[in-house]
Amino acid sequence: MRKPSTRDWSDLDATSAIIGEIAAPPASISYLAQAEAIVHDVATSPYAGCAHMYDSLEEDRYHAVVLPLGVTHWRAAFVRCAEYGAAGAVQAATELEAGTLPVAAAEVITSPAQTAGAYVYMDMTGTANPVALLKHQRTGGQIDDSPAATTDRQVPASALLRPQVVRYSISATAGHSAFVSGRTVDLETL
Amino acid sequence: MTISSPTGYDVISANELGFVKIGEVLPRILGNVNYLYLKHQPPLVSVCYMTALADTSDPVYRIPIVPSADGLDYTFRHQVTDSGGGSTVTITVEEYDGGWNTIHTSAGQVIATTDTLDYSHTDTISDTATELRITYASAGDDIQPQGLLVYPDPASVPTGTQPSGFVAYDDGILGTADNPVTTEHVDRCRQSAVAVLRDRRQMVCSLVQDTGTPQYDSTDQGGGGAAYMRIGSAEAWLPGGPCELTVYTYGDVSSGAATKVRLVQVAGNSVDLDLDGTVQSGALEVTPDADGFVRFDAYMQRPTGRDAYLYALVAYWRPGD
Repeated sequence: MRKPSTRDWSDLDATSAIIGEIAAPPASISYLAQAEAIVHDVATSPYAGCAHMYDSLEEDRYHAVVLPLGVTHWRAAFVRCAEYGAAGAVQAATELEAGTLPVAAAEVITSPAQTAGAYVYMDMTGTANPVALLKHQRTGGQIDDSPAATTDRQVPASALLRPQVVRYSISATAGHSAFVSGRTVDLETL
Repeated sequence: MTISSPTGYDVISANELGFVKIGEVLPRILGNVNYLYLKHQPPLVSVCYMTALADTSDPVYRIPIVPSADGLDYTFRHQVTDSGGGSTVTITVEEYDGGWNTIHTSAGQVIATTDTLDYSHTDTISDTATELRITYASAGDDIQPQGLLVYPDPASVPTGTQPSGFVAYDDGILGTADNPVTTEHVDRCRQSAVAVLRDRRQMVCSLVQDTGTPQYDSTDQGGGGAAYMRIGSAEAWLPGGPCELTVYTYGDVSSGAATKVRLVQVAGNSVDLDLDGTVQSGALEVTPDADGFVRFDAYMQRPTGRDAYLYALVAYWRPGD
């Protein structure tokens, strides 16, 4: 079994060598293991999920994400805005569609809104409008790759031994990032 | 001597390291080093434009970049939505490398009413380029540029030592039976892997507006008197642990002295940068929470009696920093 890496790069020594200047190093399997481990870490560690800031209000926002190898599921962290103190109905849910999904209406990922009233954007709405209420949310953590009805869940991906680019749209947000939430347990099975 | 790479990552079982000859496993590890050069693809640019829902002004976006030292090929993926009635869009990409150089111009892309164009191209970004300039020309049709993703996508593994420090593996020595395994081959795995990792910076925060007519400027703000007003908020996912980011901004003021833009890790550090008509940069140390998230807020200072314009605010992570 071989798992993807979960390495913390904050302790990376960018300059040291495995063997270096030792004239006659002793034969050691640890050298080979070190050589393989760093390559494995770089190849299988996830990429950063970029924090995108924008103004899409209730509209769809189209973009694409590079998923590193071995990813089985991903999610979105998003922010919604509403007028502070505003009364009104709960806003429309945030919907996420990705890749070849949905092949059926039920497969749209739908995250219920936690904001109500008029959509606004941050504080950039002039003195006539009050400041915005921000609500940071994340799409659901439930895994259900073939739902019978729209539901809040993780986005499935076909795990590969190379990165893949997935196009998606997300609605009713003013910012978001995509993040990896599931990776294959054993890369040797891919 | 052949330089080759597996098309997919060659998974080496942990128990293979202990029970085979080093000369049998090391070429596979070095093959994976070559694979990294081709397939370590964190986005250099990941932007969702802050833009009008129906823009007829041929918007132009400028994005500060820190490309690979190796002058790599990058794949660009643009998303552009027609706002109604259909559009024809020409996309031009330029890099600033001591002057503006066009690296790609698309043919006119026809977008049916309310559809979204998904347009890709692969072009080289110079190692000394400091900005990208993207123009979406629609000849008066109303469009909404949505997003841009730019990621490394080299077509082949080069010979020799690269400016990044990467050295490719060829099978000249290890590929022949009974030839020696040198310490350099073992060290090369680490040095090349770390070189690729650190050479390909990852964008972790972005807010980009049209340089002609930004969607929001200081005239849209309440407050005043040099107050800082929030203009963006989003979470980044930084699974690599605490780190120092490099933040870049480009903006301007209508007249007079520079004003400021501020990027904040909520409940953490912040950095203030000038909006003065040039690209400015600074460092920001961030500490992700237990799940790897960093919540950013962006603020712009409203100058008294003048206007301020933010065109781009981006942050880059280099693993190990």
